[in-house]
Amino acid sequence: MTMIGGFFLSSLSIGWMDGSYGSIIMFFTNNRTGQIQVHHKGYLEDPSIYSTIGGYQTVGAFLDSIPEVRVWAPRIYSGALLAVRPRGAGSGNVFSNSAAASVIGIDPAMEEAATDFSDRIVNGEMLTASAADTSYAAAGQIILGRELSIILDASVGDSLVMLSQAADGSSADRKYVIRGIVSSGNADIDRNTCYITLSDAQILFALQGKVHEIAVMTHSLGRVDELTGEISAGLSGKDLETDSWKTFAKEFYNGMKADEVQLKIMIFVIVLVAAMGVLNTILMMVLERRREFGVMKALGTRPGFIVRMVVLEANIMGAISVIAGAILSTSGLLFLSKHGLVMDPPLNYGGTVFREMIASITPECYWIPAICVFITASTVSFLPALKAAHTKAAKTLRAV
Amino acid sequence: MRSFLLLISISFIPGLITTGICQPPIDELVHSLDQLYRSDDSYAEMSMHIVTPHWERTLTMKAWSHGIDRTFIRILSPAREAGMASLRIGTEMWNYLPNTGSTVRIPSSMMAGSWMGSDITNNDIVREITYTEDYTYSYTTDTTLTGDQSDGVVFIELFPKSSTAVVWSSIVFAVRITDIMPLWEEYYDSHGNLIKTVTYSNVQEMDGRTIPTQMQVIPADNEGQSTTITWTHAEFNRGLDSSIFSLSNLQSGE
Repeated sequence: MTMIGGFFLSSLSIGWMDGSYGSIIMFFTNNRTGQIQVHHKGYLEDPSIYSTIGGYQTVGAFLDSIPEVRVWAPRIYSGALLAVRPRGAGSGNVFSNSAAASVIGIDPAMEEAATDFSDRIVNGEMLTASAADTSYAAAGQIILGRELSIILDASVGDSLVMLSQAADGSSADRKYVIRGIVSSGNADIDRNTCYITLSDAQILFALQGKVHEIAVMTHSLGRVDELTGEISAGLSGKDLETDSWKTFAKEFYNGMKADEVQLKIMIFVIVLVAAMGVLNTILMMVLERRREFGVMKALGTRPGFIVRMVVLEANIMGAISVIAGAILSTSGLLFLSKHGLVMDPPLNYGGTVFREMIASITPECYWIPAICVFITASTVSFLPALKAAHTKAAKTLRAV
Repeated sequence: MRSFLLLISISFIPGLITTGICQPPIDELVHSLDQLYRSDDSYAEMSMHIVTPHWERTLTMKAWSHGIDRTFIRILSPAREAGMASLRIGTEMWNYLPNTGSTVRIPSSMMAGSWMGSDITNNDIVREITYTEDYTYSYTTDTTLTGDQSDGVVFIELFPKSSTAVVWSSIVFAVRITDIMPLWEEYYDSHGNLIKTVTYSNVQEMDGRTIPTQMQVIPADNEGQSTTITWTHAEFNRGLDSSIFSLSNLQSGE
C-alpha cells in the first residue's frame, strides 16, 4: 500500500507539474510574447528605437517555411505621451489629461492569429486599416490598456493626442480615436501600454519597412530550444538574434524554475516517505519469516540466494505497486486534465493571473515514479535481506 | 635671510591668486552667474543644433521669458516642427502641436524627458532654481574636479540643498573672473560620476549685455551626442505683453 501510495502521489505530482506549468507557459507566451522572438542584435539588452529588423517580411517568409512555426507577428515599440481632453471640456483643444505610455505597433491580422488579441478587448473593437496607415496627417486608431484608460479618464470613441519622437529625430505627433480597451490580465502592462497599427507606427516613428520584434508562435513547447537554434542558424549573417522565452521572459522563467525545484523537492519527500514505508514493510516481513530463513539455512541454502530472494520479492511487490499505482494515477490524471483545479485565490505569474490549473499525462508521469519504486525497493530491501541471510539456523529454530 | 623671505613671498603670489586672494566674494560671483541670462523679461532668437549617433538636425526658434517663472518658445523650422510651441508657467508646461491642432499638458512623469529630442529636459526649462537660493557653494581647487587650472579662472563647487529637487549631487562651475563669464559646468551624480558637461562660448554683447551666445550640452553617457544652442538675437527688459504667456497665444501658431 505504501508503495502504491508513493507511486500514485509521485505520478500525480509530475502530471500536475507538467500540465500546470506547461499550460502556464503556453498561456503566457501565446498571449503575449510568443515562444521565440527575433530582434536586431543587442535589442534585448538595450531596447532602442534604432535597433530594428529591416526587411522583416524576408525573415517572415523564412519563418513560414518552418513547419513547427505556427504563426509570427511583427511589432514596433516606442514610448509616447498620450493626452485626452478632460470630461466636460467640450471640443476644446487643450488635452490636459496626460500620461506616459509604451506604444506597440501591431499588424492587426497577424497579431490576432498569433495572440488572439481581440479576445482581450473588453470594450470596443480591434484595430482596422485607416488613413493613418498611409498618411502622417491623418488621424489613427488606438487601443488602450484598461488601467491606462482609467488614468486618462478616456473611453471608446474619445479623441486622444500622442506626442513622441521619431527615429529620425523629428517630432512624432498624431491624433487618434480610441477604438478599444484591452485587458491583458496584467495590470502593470495595461497601466502603461497602448496599441496602434504597425503601418501607422512605421509612419509615425519614421520606421518604414522596419520592426523591432518578430514574435514566433510554435505548435508546442517541447522543441522550442532546438527550433530557436534552427531559426538562429537560418538567420545568421543578418545581424539578428533569436531567443527563446527562457531568455526574453527571464523573470517568468526563473519563477517557473524556482517553483519546479520546490515541486521536485516535494516529490523527493514523497518518495522518501514511501521508501521508509517499504523498509518497514520488508523488515517486518523478514522478522516474521525468521523461522523460514532458519529452515532454509539449515537445509544448506547459501546466504547470497536469500539476499537475492528477498530483494526479488521486494521488486515483485514494487512491480505490483507500479501497476496498481498506474491505474490509480491514470484515473486521477484523466480527471485533472479534463476538469482542472480552480485556483482560489488565483495564481499570479509575472503579473499574469491564472485561475485554473490542469494536469497532463506524459510518459514522465509513469517512468519516473516506476524507477523510483524499483530503486527504492532494491536499496531498502538490501539491509533486511542481509539480516535474513545471516540468520543463525540453530538459534532461530530453537527460539521459535 | 631677508632676500630668502622675499623669495618665499614672491613664490607664493601665483598660488595666492588661484587659491583665493584675487577671488571675488563668492556670493557676488554666484549672484552674477544667476543674473547672466535673467532679466525682468527677455526675447531671443536662437538655433538649437542636435547631434546624435543616428541623426543630426537644427531647429530655429523664438523664445520669450518673464522673470524666472514664465517661458514661451515657438519653433520656426524645420517644416515638420514649425509652429510647435512650449509654454511654461511656474512648474506647469504645455506643448502646442500644429499637426493635430491641440495643446498637450506635460505630466510630471515626463518632465525628465527630452525637450524636442535635445539633451535639454523639460525640467531644465521649467526649473525655477537659482544658484544663490537653492545651492550651497564654495570655491574649490581640487584638481580632480577642475582639471588643469589656469590663471584668471576660478572654480566653484555647488551642492543642491535638501529641498532642491534635482537629479545631480554637485556642479563644478569654471568662471573667468575678469568678466565673470562661465566657461563650463560639470554635473555629477551621488557616486561622483559625470552626468553632463555644459560649455559656454562665443561671448558677445547683445542688447547691452555681454553674454556667452553659445551653450553646448554634452551628456556623459551618450557618446557622440550633443546639443548646441546659439543665440542670434536677444533683447532684455523691453516690457513684454503678459498675454504672450497664455494658452490662447500658444494655439495661435504665430
